[in-house]
Amino acid sequence: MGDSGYDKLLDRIDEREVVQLLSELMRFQTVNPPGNERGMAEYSARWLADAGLEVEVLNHDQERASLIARLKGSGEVPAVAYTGHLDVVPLGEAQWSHDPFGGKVSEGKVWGRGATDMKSGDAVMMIVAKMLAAAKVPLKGDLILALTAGEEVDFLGSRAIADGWHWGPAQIVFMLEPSGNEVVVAEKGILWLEITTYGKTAHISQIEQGRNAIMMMLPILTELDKMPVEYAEHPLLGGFARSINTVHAGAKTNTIPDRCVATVDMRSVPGQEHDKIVAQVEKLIADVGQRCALPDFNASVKVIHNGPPLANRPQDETVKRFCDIVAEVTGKQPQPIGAGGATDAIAFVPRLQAPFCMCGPGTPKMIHQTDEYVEIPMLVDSTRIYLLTALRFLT
Amino acid sequence: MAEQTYAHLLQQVDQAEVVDLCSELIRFKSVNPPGNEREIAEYVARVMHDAGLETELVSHAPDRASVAGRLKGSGKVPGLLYTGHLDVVPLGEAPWSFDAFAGKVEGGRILGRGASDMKAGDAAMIVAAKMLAAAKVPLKGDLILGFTAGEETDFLGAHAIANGWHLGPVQGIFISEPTDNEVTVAEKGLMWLEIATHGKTAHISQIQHGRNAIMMMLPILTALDKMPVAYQENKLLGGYVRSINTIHAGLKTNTIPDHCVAQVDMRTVPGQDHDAILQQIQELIDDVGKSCGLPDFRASLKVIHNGPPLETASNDPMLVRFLDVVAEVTGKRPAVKGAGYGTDGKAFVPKLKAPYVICGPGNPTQNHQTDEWADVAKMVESVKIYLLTATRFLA
Repeated sequence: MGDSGYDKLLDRIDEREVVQLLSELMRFQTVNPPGNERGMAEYSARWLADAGLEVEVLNHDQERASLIARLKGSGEVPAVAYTGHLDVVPLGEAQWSHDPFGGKVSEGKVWGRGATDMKSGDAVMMIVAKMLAAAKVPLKGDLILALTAGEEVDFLGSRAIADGWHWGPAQIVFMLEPSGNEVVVAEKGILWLEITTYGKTAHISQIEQGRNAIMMMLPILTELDKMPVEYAEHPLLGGFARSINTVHAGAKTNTIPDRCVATVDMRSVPGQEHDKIVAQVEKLIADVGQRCALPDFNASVKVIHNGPPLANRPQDETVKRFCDIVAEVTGKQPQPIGAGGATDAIAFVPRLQAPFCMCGPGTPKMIHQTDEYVEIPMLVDSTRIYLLTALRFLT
Repeated sequence: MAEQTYAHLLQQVDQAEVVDLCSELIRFKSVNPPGNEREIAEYVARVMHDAGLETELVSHAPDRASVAGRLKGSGKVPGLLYTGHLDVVPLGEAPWSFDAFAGKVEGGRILGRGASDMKAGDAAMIVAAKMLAAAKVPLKGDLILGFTAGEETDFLGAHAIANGWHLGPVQGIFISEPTDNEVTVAEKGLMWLEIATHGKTAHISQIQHGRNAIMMMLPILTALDKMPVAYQENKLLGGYVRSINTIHAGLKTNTIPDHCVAQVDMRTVPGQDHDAILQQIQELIDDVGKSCGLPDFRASLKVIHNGPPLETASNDPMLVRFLDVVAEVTGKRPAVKGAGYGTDGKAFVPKLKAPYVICGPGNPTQNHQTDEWADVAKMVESVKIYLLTATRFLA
């Protein structure tokens, strides 16, 4: 694939325009929780509609919305999807040296909450779409933009968009999450389990009438920690990890607790099936119940968060093409890497059954930090990457 | 014999005096928490002072105080300690059918929070002391009165008086907690332990840098539950019990917890030594640390509440004499019992090394209940018991 005649568009990228749009987006205080993404979604929708895209806003509730926008192609090839999220994480306790929602530009950087994660990626895809529309580049497939609410907490927006997907097949899905413009091609799965044991409360002087929920939980957690889970080490992601990270029971020292709740974080690698792991944990709990000899043993397990591990087929051609585009822009051939995960990809990739890459401006070490910023040259590089990607995949 | 000389005093017990004093005491809202016992302590100090006792306010905090009084004897024999608590438990959720702090008298009962537990007992002891003082009964030993703050939560006042006031030596300790004028001579020991494990926090993606405090706690609690503790079943109190009643660790499912805290409630019987149990648990924790194979294992053990088991032997001469007194007043020799709760005796008995009895006019069915009441006739009986006891032991 080579220059379709529109590569000269790259020279028309206006740094000031990208920076200005990013600053504008950063003024929306989309801190999640609670989210409040509606204002930013409506602003972006208007902006994209003015640029000539078809836009659909999905209202989740009064204050929350996501949007999807499409720059129509002729339909000769499947679409390319660019995705980003609207929400940002809370500011934390530490003092900021700039207004985190001021969108301040200085020292070649744009400063504020979300500068890296990931309003810079959002701005990039919006600018790219606008430039393609303005230049009336004839596209052979649709360019689809998805801007989602709730990525930082529960994938509210991406799940809603993926569930109602009616924008046809895609050749590839991009998450413009901050990767320092590196290319992430595999993501660990995430499985959060909540285990609850149910006893019966009693004052210690009536101990024979009590059923201690903590005593039911101890053997479950002890066994769970040793439970063998099958997996094959992944070259980019490493191994399966699990950790029992919370356990809570009891309000008063003199009272037998009737409930104990523990949560477990599991991070899986491609090849592992979450349903099987859940079934294994259920069986383990049932076995413990039979073996432990505690009267009235009662326990349940609930999945509270579930996203599959994601990986492209090895040597996927689409991914390879994208890596070449990145190399063309940055002058450096990227080595595909894996990530710890849990991005909107867990909603989009299983639904679209398409190859995916995570690549965006902003360095991962800035994610969720105080005094978050993005370097403007990286922002411009990203704009070039995604403009060229649209041209190469869709013209 | 002394009783010939002072028997007429029993005829002079004025029902109105003890009832009025009890009503007055109920009007002080000494609900604990927070306590606010200062006003009632100041009032009791005034009453005792006006009756001719040496009195001292024992201050704990701006709003909290206990009070001690002494009716001086010649010092030929050791004294007696009469003690009760000034605080009452909260009203609870259920509506009361009368004003809980009015101290109204109706149908032979005095009504209100604390009527039974234990302002009736306080009033009976104070009236007995007043009558002895007014009659100028020559005493061979001191009659000491201690009315305490904080019994319902932490024995604050009893510890302060036991440790800060010159009390002893005494022949016996008398606590007028509600027993319906029956006699209780034993209570379980209480030891609350807090076990904490200390790890290192990390995001799950950095699990190798984390040290999970929950994983350190599990083997401790599992071993603790099985730890054999030696004790002998007590005739009045039954057996030793223990229960792990709280555990708390972790705020976020994706973050390795660096801190896990569990609390254990132990109730001991006479013959058990708390220090020995404590040492046994410390050794258990050390052993777990060595055998569990967890890197950087760190755990600590803290005593958060500690009161020994108490028992007065059934053939103790003081007890035998007291039972004679009770039989003389009530016409029935009571069988001795064990208590299902802890009293201020936990502070006084170890300090004074004297036998103790619990005997008071309140009705144990009324403890901590809505629409609490105390029987007026029992209050008069109690004044007589404590009047006669003082003359028998001190005159």
